[in-house]
Amino acid sequence: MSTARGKLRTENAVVIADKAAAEIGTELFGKYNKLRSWLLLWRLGLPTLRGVIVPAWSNDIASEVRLFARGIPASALLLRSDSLNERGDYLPAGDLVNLADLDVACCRYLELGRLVFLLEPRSRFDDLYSLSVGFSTSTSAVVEIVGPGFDASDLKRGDASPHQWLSVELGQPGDDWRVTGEKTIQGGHYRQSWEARLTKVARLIENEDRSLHGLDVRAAEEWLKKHQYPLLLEHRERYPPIPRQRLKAILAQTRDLPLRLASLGEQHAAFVVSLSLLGKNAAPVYWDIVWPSAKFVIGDRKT
Amino acid sequence: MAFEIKGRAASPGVYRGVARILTDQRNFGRLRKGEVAVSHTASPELVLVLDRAGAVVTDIGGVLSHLVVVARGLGVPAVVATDNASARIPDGAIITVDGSTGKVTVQTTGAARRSVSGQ
Repeated sequence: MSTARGKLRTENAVVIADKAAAEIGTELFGKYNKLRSWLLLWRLGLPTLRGVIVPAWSNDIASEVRLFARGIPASALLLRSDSLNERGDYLPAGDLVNLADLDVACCRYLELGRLVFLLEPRSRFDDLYSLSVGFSTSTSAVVEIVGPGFDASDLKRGDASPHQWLSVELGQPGDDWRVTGEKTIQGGHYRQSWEARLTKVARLIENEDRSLHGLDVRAAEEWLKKHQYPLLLEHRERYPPIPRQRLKAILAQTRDLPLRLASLGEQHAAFVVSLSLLGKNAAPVYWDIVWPSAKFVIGDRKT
Repeated sequence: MAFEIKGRAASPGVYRGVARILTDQRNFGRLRKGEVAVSHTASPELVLVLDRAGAVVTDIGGVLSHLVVVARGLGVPAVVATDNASARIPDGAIITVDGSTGKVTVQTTGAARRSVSGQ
């Protein structure tokens, strides 16, 4: 396993399991914005997943990945990817990939010139709440939330309207925060959102298991039951607002992010941090940070 | 004649232009410079038209979605979570997007009406 700083090169796999490794990873791959933001989460001490950065595929790297998986232990890993020149039509990731299928899956992304990072396995069908917290000043934030059985991509990729939206005045460090605006989705709208999510779930299941081609929503329901992901099915009719205590804990973790990021040389006028509370015990996992100016390559609006 | 659609104010600014209903990436080429992109979801694929869209309107999506975050950074007015704008706005209609209030005003006279009847 590559751990000694002097031996590291950008063609090696790099295991990220602590702050020191995240700093090395940033030195090597800091130009990849999504990846850098995950490494920043490690450097900030926020709860995030262990992983291994895969810049290429070879027998040596495959061995390192297997070793990483064995140490968890895991029979599948969560595949994410990034590009130096991300476009809006990037190939989505987020699939859980069995170890036996990793070579094909990784090469599919690597051949597109992308970099892969493989994380501890967490299913996107098992999120109790997913949140985006947006900062445009250091004293206020907007929080968007989707509920049980939805995932962070619903917010980030605009596949769902938030089920709950809050505007929060954070005040100065040490002040109590207060909600200055709030809206929660109601009956019919939630039901529509739920149906759309189930349709998306059917598509996502197909992505993870190509043998299930043509899955309809009823079969997707059965799949969720069989694989013991009950959250979406248990919340078919009504969105349960996030408990205030959970929101309080998240805001306690995130409210000073503008200042903490600036102290790491990441000074941005606006950014969004994404996280999920996983499973019925609502374990927080932070996914990434998005900076508007660095997310995508955009054509020139003046021409 | 005009009617209004209400959504969530997502990126400030007021813009008036021709609405172009975009159903998927294959018809993004229909959007000409200065037209308003109207879509069902706030998909990040729509970022591909932000180099020429005058404004963005979507049926669903939030103000922290990738698309809207980037639109805000570029100063492109946007209204999201209108529920049904892509179904109610005729392709080619003249619309006014107020990204500060979340209001979309749809003109249903003249060219827009002809465009609808011509479909």
